[in-house]
This record gives sequence, C-alpha cells and structure tokens, in this order.
Amino acid sequence: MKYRVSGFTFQALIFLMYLTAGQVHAQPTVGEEYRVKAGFIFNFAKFVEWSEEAFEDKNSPILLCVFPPDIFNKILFTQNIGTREILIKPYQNDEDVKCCHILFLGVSDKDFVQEKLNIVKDMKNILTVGESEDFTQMGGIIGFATEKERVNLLAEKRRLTFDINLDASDRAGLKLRSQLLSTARKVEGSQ
Amino acid sequence: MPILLKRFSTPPKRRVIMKFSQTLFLIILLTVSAGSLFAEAWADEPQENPIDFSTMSLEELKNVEIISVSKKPENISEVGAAVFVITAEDIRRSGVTGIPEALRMAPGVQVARIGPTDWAVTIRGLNQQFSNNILVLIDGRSVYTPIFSGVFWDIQDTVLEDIERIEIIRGPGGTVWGANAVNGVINIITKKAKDTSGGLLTVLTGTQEGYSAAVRYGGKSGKNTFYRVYAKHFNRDQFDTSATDCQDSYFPEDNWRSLRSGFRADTESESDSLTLQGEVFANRYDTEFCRISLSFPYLLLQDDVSESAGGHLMGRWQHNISETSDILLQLYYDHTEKDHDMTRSAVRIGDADFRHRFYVFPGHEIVWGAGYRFISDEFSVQEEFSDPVSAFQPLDISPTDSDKNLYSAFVQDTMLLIPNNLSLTVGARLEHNDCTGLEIQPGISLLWTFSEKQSFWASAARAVRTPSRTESGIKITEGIIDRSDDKLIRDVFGPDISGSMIPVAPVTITFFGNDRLDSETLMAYQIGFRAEPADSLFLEFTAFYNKYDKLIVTADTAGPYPEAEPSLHYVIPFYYSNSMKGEAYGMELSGDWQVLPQWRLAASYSLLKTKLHWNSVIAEIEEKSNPCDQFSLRSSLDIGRQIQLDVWLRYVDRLSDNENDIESYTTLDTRISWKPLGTLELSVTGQNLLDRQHQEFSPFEVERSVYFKLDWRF
Repeated sequence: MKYRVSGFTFQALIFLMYLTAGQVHAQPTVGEEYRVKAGFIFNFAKFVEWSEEAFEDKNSPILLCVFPPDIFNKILFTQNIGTREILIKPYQNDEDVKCCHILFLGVSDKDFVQEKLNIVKDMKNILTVGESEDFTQMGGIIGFATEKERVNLLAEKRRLTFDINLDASDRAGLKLRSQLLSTARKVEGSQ
Repeated sequence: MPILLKRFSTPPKRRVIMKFSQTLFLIILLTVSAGSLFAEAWADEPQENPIDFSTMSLEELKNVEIISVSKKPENISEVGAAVFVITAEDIRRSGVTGIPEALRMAPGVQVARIGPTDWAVTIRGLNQQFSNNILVLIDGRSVYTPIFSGVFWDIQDTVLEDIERIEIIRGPGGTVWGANAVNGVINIITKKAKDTSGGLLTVLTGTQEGYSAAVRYGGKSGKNTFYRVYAKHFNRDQFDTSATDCQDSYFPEDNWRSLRSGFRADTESESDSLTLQGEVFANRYDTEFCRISLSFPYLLLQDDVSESAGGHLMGRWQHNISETSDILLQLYYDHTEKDHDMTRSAVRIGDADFRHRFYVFPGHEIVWGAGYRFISDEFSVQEEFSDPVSAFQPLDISPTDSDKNLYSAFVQDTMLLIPNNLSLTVGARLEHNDCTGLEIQPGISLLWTFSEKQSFWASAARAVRTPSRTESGIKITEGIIDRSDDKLIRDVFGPDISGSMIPVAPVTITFFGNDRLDSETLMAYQIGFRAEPADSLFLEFTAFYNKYDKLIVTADTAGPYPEAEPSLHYVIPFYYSNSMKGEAYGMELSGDWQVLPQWRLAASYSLLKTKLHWNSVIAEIEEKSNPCDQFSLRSSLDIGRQIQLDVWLRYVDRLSDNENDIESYTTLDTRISWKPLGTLELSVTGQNLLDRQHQEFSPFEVERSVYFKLDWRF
C-alpha cells in the first residue's frame, strides 16, 4: 500500500533517462577563486604575443611566476599553448623575475605591488597580472576585478573580470590580441 | 489546577529496541572508520580538479562564480550577528524532505515534530506549536501568519532542489526585518532562474514519505530573461493510527496530500534586475478533533478533512543607481485559506517594501527603507459544523472580519571605526500597527575583525512581538469538566461544595482574547567569536542573554460564572494577558571541518536555559518545553566521483512539563547516493534509524523510515 509508484514506472523512467542522457544542460559553474584566476591567466597567455627573443626556441615553455609562492599550489595546466607549455614558478626572490614571461601578483597590498612593478618596469616581455586595487593605473598590464552581485543583505555572488593598460603592454613590448581586448571590462591607454 | 484540557495526557509507553540500535551503532562505527581509511588512502593522490578552468574561454570564465577556499560561508565573517547558512548542498546531502526538517541542521534552532503535519520550530526557546517569535521569509515574503502569530509549517514547501540557501539569524532581527523577528529570522532564498536552467525531475517514495514527485523546467527567453516553472505533489498516507475517544492522547492526521505549482522569471540588465514569481497550492489531510458541546456526551470525536489553499504573486526590482548606491522595491500579494477544526480563516496580505543602500559618506554603509502592509482576514464556521440545535460555538472570533494596516521605516548605519578592523552598526525601526500602535526596535552591534581569520562581535537589540488576532479576539472553549469527578469539582468550586450545590449544568474552560494587549518585548544581548584556525576549519561560538517582558499567556483571573446562552452552563474564564516575564540564556558552538577534499564534518552544540517567572501550570509547561542540550554531527564523504555517503547524528535533550515527559533522544540519518550519469542521481535515505520510534514534542511518535529518491536532470 505504501509504495504507490510501481516497479514498472521506475523501470520506464530509468529507460527514458538513458534515452536522453546525452543532453546535458550546462549548470552554472562555481570555482575556487585562484583556480578560476589560473584559467584566466592561461587564456591571457593564448592571446598575448611575445617577441621572439623572449624565448630560447619554439618549444621553450612560458614561465608563469606567481606570488605568493604557494598561491597556485594545486594547479596544473593540462594543455599547451601551441608548442609551449606553461610552467608555474613560485616567486622566491626578485632575481627570479628576469626569466618570467608572466608575473602574477596575487596580493592586495598596494605598496608591495608597486615595489614589484617598479622592479619589472624597465624589463621587456613580462606580462604583469595583478588583483590589487588600481593595478593597471599603477603600471600593471592586466588587473583582475571582482564583480559583485547582491543576493540579499548578507550574501553576494562574485565573478571575475579584468582591466587592461595598453601603455604598459607597449612598454613591455607585448602585443595583445583583439580577443583579449574585447572581453576586458576596461581598456586604458593608447591605440 | 488539574483540569481536563483536551490535548494534555500521559504519553504511551516508550518502546526501545536496544538490540537494533546496538547493531546500528556498530555499522556506523564501521562505516565511519572505513570511510576515514578510504579517505586516508586517497589523501596522497593528486587532488582531482573537478573543472579545468584553462579549457574555458574568457567569456565563460567571466560567468564563473568564485568562492574562497575555506568553508566559511561567504560574507558571514563580516556580520555582527549569529548567522548560520544551510546551503543547497547541505539540504541535498542531509536527505531532508521538508523545510522544517532542514532547519535541524542549524545550531540554536529547536525543531520538534508534533504530528504528521505539524512542527514546532523555534530559535533559542519558547517553543510551542505556533512558535510565535521567529520570523520566516521565503524570498522576502513573510510566511508568518498574523492570525496565530506563527508559521503553518504544513503549507510551507517548495521544490527543495531550487532552494539556494537558508539563512538562520539567531537573535532579534527587528531592526532590519520588522516586528516578530524576536528570537530570530529564517530566510529561505530560492535560486535565480538562470541557475535552474534545464529540466529536473525528482521522484521519492518511502515508508513514511508516501510518495512525492517534483518537476521543474528552466529556460531562457531573449538575451537576459530566464524563467522556471515547477510543480510538486506529495501524498503521505502512512499515519494509520486513530484515536478512539476524546480521552485519547493524540489526534491523528493522515492522507496528507499537497500540490503546488509556481514560476519565477528574472530579467537583468547592467543596472537593473527584475524578478516576478508566483505560486498556488492546495493542501489537505484527514484529521480528527474533539468537539465540545453542552449536552451529553459533551465531548465528541469528530472526523474532519482539513483543507488549505492559497497563492502569492510577487515582484522585485533592484536598481543600481551608481557603484555606491542601490535600491530595492518589492511588492507581493498573498492569499491563504485554512481550516482550523470547525472554523476556516481567509487571510489576504498585500506588502510593499522599499530599501536604499548607499556608501556616500566615507566609512559609512547606510541602509534605510520603508514598508507598508495590508492584512485582511475573515473567519467563518465551516458549514458542516454549524450547530443549529445548541448553537454553541466552541470557537468564536470577534470581530469575524478585520482589516489592518502596518507602516514601517528603518535606518541602519554601519560605520568603519577603524578600516578593516572595527565597525559599528547602529539602527532602529519604527513600526506602526493598528493594534498596539507605535513600536520601536533599535539595535547596535560592534564587529572587531582582529585578523583575517578571527573576529569578535557583540550586540544588543530590542524586538517586539505583536499580539495575534486570536490573542486579541478569540473565544475558545478548550475543555469541559466532567461533573462526576468530585475531586475536580471541589478543586474548582472550593472544598466545601456538596450535594445539591454541585452545578447541574456543564462547566466549560474558555479562553478569552484581550484587545488591550501590549506587544511582548525582548532585550537581547549577544557576543560571538569566529575563527579559521586553518584553511579547512571554521569555528563559531555565540552566547546570549535574552530578557523577555510582557509575555502573553492565559491567566485565570476570575472564578466560574453562569452563562444562560445558548443553554445554562458555567464558564471558567481564562484571559490572555501580558503577565509573564522571563529570561533565557545559552550558547551555541559550531564547527565545519573539511578534513580531506572528499570528507567534511559539521558539528554543533546548543545550550539553552529558560526561566519564566510565573507560578501557574502554563509557566511551567513553557519553561521545560525546550531541550536544554542539543548536539548534531554531520559527516559527508565522497567515495570516488559517483558515490556519496552522509551520516547525521543528533541528540536532543528531554522535555518535561506537568503532563508530558518527552525523553531525550538520539537519532541517526544516513544517505547514500549514486550518480551513474552526470544527469542522474539515485539515493537511499534512512531516517531516525536508532529507535523504532521516538517522541519529540507530543505523544506523536516519529518512526524509523527509509525512502528511495531519484533525481534526473534533463
């Protein structure tokens, strides 16, 4: 008496499910902040052109230097960009930056960020990516920004976007492709 | 005073099956230890990344919602209040099948099942069926009924999979949420339509659940408009006990059927978002109640079908004026009809709420708002129970119709005293209602974030509960005295009464509403401490002291008097009055520990002591109608990608009053789910596994049960 849904109904349902199992609707995605940022940086690298002298040869990797050193600890990029793979290099000391192709500063302390940006200011071929406030105004090339959406008084949803400073990329001798510029929230500087 | 009130009597003998529970404990021990073994074995493996974000495009990435690593609920650390969040994942993995059951996950919340369709839910005490001092909102719509001051939990439901989160705010929320948010606020928030795209079908069947099915479909229309439509039906027909006469301790309810259907549409542009949602429902169950009449046999067991139906329509507009300023306008209309034994109520509520938030002055976040609510209700005797012969109405409300207005305005300022370190929130709400006039509900809280991982807060607030319609206008005959009971008659009419003096007419016990009641008031003082000693661990401690005044109770203020209409009888009147004071204090401790990427533990302990200063029967009932200690431990383990195992252990302390003793109970739920495909989940949930049955509040026994559920996304 208590089981009103018969065995047959269930079998029929399960059968139906197998029939339609191929159609998967995309569910909204949620990700840990730095995993998502790593995904962004991979995409940045895809749409940035470094000059030839930045690499030893066609197969040498793109070095992504990150500070704090452990911020991308659990992240491994599974694919390459063309013939190059992306290697994550923890930032240990200031000497390290010379060989970096991308420098990611995952800190909010503006004084610290300015200090690091000053070190790379006159170096070529380093794509600086940061998340501190006014990162692009301070001379960084790509700055993450968070877009907040209020759920209610207590909660909000956060999504990432980014700003670009073209003057800074010009100084670094980097060319940013239109795919990058068109998805940015704000593009500052020349062109 | 020993009087014959309908619902109080001794509970049936408690049956405990030791052997089974011992076996079960063994099984759990084995499961938990096996689980930790498995988990350890996996710990060395590289952590699997559920989504490789480097494969997504920039456009896709911009739509990803980001969360921080810790299990700390977003933004909660920035609030100077005791807030607990039950997430969609918690609801799914706990295996609960209804909103009141889900609330058991939160610390400081007392949930007790009174009967198949009734729950007593409160926060920090003063529990009863119409636990009248917590405010419950579903998507901003108050489901607190102004008729009985409380929530009809039997008609609050939705597709559980569409709930995004349930926020439980312990302590007064009167400043922001308005009157009746005395002991706390329960905020049920459903997902945005864009987060419920595609189809969902759930089918559930079980020993206590009967069967239930829900279907939802979400889609997109145009560029920025998303919608969903849903329907849910259940039939819980398992409660096949029945009362034999009015002396029975418990009046059964059975054949509980519910059907509801609704929709939600959201449209968004850069600066605006607009939501329209609505729902209709119908609910019915078979029940029995004891009908009182003035002629022999005085008490008559009556069969009844209790029906309720209603619906609501709601619109919400959010507009960002600038980066530092936004407004919210919300309008809704709600209509609910419900049977209450012989009578039926119809309640219509229209509500408009406006809020504006801005950060114009440096270091200040100011929220202010204004609201208007119209409440219209109407009571009638159900036709089948009108009694032309004796014309005696055990339940009468005067006036039978009422229209009431409520105006309110509030302002709250959060000041950064030391940026990123110390903030002070000060606010107050003024509310005017037609019954008690102007009510002022101020609040202040201080939040000290002494590191990114630790914060401390303290608050003080005043909140009020306004008298309900029944408390101000009801006349209800709750009992009738059996004249053959000599002892009782002597207790009531004095020891000297004898022979011919004993009244020949029946004697009723009648509760009278009082239209001069004041609001109940609460002054609450709280402190809280939060810490994240490690990335994977979040701990929270809160302590509170509540001082209640002018609590509304029924007091016996007069001796029996004769009444001639409709036939001679004596009435022992009890009048509602603001004649009780009290205090409650206690603490809550909760922790959330992501032991391993695939294993999470959540635990909470709540302590509550209540003292009410009044020496009558009712005072003592109230005092002990809440458990002193409560403990909950939940374990969520992923076994590979497809299987999830959840175990939930709960302990609830005993309740006792003069008539009923509810023993403490320990209970355990387990859920195991299997996801053979990305779109399909099958699960089996066992509930209340440690005992064959246990009581929680009333003689009603909550039984051990098992159900099977299928979730299919298409």
